[in-house]
Amino acid sequence: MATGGYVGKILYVNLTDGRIEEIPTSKYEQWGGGHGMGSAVFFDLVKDKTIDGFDPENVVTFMTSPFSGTLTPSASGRTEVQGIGVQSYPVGWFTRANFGGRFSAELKYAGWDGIAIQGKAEKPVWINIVNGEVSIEDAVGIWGLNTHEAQQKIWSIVGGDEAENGEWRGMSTGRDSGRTTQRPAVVTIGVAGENLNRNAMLLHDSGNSAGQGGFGGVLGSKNLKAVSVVGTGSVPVADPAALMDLRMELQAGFAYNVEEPVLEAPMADFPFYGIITRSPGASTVMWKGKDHPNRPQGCIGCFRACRRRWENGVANGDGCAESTYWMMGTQDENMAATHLLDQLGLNHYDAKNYSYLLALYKMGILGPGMQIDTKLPFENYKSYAFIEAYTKAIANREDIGADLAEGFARAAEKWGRYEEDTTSGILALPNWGFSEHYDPRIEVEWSYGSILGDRDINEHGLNTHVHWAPQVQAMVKQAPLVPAEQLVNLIAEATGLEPEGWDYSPDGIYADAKIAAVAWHRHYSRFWIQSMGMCDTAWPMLVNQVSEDHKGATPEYEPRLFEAVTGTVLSYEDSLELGRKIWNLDKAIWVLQGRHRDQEVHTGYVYSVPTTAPYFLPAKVDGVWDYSTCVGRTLDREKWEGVKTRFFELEGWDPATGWPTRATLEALDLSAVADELDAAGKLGA
Amino acid sequence: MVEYEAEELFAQPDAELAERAMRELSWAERLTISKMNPATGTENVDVYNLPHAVLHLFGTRWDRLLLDGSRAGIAYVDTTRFVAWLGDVVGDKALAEAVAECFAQDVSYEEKIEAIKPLFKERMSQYGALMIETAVE
Ligand code: SF4
Repeated sequence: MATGGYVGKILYVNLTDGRIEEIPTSKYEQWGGGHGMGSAVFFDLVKDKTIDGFDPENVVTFMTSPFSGTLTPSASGRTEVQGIGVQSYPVGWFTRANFGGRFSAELKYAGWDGIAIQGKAEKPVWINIVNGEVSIEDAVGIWGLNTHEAQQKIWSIVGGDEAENGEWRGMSTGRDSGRTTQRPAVVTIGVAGENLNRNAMLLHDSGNSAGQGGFGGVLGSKNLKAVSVVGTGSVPVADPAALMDLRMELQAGFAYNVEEPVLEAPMADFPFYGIITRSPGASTVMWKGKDHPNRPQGCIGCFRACRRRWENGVANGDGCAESTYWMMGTQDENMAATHLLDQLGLNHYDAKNYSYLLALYKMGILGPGMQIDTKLPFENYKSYAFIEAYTKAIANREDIGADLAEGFARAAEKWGRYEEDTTSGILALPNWGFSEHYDPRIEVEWSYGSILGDRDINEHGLNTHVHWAPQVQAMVKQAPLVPAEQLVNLIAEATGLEPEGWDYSPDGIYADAKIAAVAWHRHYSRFWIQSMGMCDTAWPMLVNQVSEDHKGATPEYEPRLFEAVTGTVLSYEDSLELGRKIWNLDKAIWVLQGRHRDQEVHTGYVYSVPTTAPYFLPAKVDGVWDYSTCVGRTLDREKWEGVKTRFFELEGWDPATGWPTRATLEALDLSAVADELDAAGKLGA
Repeated sequence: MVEYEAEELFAQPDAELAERAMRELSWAERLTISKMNPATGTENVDVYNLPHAVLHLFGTRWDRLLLDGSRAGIAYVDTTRFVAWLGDVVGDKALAEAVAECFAQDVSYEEKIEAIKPLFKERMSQYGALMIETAVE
């Protein structure tokens, strides 16, 4: 039993009948936290797993981890969101999203390890959590507001108009409830969510978003505008001194040294290189600071602080893909377009496909009076007026925005174009309707993991080392700081796998070693990233590009951090087993939803359109390791089928269907899950 | 690396060439540029006019990230296709030939792109000036 990390209870709110209940965290502690707990809570609460994401019986969980609200570096401020999603295509799989900021910490300070929300309110509401007091509030005056306005309104209600941020204030729940300097942490939907957009996101503070899955739309379908939490308690830590020591060690060895940087970019004003030096603010590489002074900003407790806060107050904290949304205008227009996405509560990762619409416009298929009739100003596609009109049309379901609010995959299907355009690749949605992220034909932990799971995996920890570091260095004519052979050996040592697991050669991506690497990636991520809330921008730390020996912090530090916080000894091997258990539970839910191996196939272009741009990854050719450009590559359909068969065998799943077997589930102490699959006639043979 | 004095390289284009080179292109005439950055990976962007290509290629150079560009990442274009596009589609044979000569150097992709930058700077300036004059007329 843990002596630290957990605060004891999970909040259950039923919006249909107004029930507010407590679930003891101890019931789910075996799952670690975050994703593991969320999947287990979902499994218990949702009896019929075949329901649609918009069904009131769907449960949305917001889960923290033992690390949330502690000093665990790059692991304190992430919140895991789960439930049946509405974005993936053709099936809305049980899925996950995640956002940073301070919501997870505030929830723990209020005494809650997580929240599970079920049902549908009769009219728009928001949930107010002040320490142990929870109420469902009328959202009159808040529904219809944009995401920033909604948060400001709630701050004024909960925190009091008179309280300036940064000042101590007492919470109005009694003399002993304590004081805080913090505004309530609010996660909210925008009008996109209110309009049941399948790509509506959740937003917290200025730019922390849970983008994928369509959870904004799911909350909208529950008539739930926002969840607000403020707490004045703290998180017990089993061995605070050990945690502090670990933090200082990690800070010294793996963070950017502001006073005496060990490594700097090879040219001035070169923020991209920050993914190698780990300099603060490094993820916001899209916008220059010349016109708008800014400073680094991070999620609570993070020693990376990868985002930026701008003097002009626009697009604060938007450091990730959303900052690339609009790249044609001036910087102010670029930032305004991202800010607009935030305020409307719209997920950039689907909306960014306007280049596909432009292709259809140029082909004479889309436009005024055309087959896809639209009045959107495509003739001015380079203007901010276009991107503004287009973005608002999706959020408000106007013009072709009504189709696009269903997501690009469903819109293309409605227009009769899905097969043709995903085969030619002009609509690059390689798996489950999600936009291409890293190249599915080459960087296969990403594409195999995505199609074998529920969404674009969006896990950058490995990708940074195998792809981005060599890519960046090649493009600035710098010899790799870590040569390919040393890199794969370091990763092999850190993961306990063979170096060949990180071979991206045409043969390497189908080898047994690669299949083992894909399984490791799923298991590691399910536990440490998604259940322990360790940010994928920082973890796993497989390699240290900056130090002399280049040795990373993984796998030594994760178990030590776990023990310092929870007081429980967990070996690295056992943590991977826990990750495998969570991965199996998720797989069982997908199977109950109708998953079969025949569906686990990428869209056509992945198998037929060769890559054209250099894409550096380690590859072993004629026994020699080097970084290869990987040009001219496609996936081979037959070989992919073979990979699936061998992957299923490795996982102990039925190779004919991909369904988990009873023996596998029982060995993981998942007999009840096996029983439910059995009852549905979906247990692997 | 070869360095050109662009002013010495190009004669002033006539109005017909300027109009052709600066026109909006069709779907079949597009150029595909691969934009790469850590957050989004590699995205193929279709480009439908010369200024748009210039924006994507040179507005994303490493050395200009915080200086005068708002875009980041690597903009990759297939050099052979790019030369063919400039000559055959855009219709600027002189520019295509000068770019081809830079690309023939045995240097890295980055250096090739650096080498063609002054050519485009000059050519766009010539086109820009000419287009304004034409508009005034
Ligand atoms: S690395 Fe960036 S996104 Fe990750 S926890 Fe730190 S500040 Fe947040």
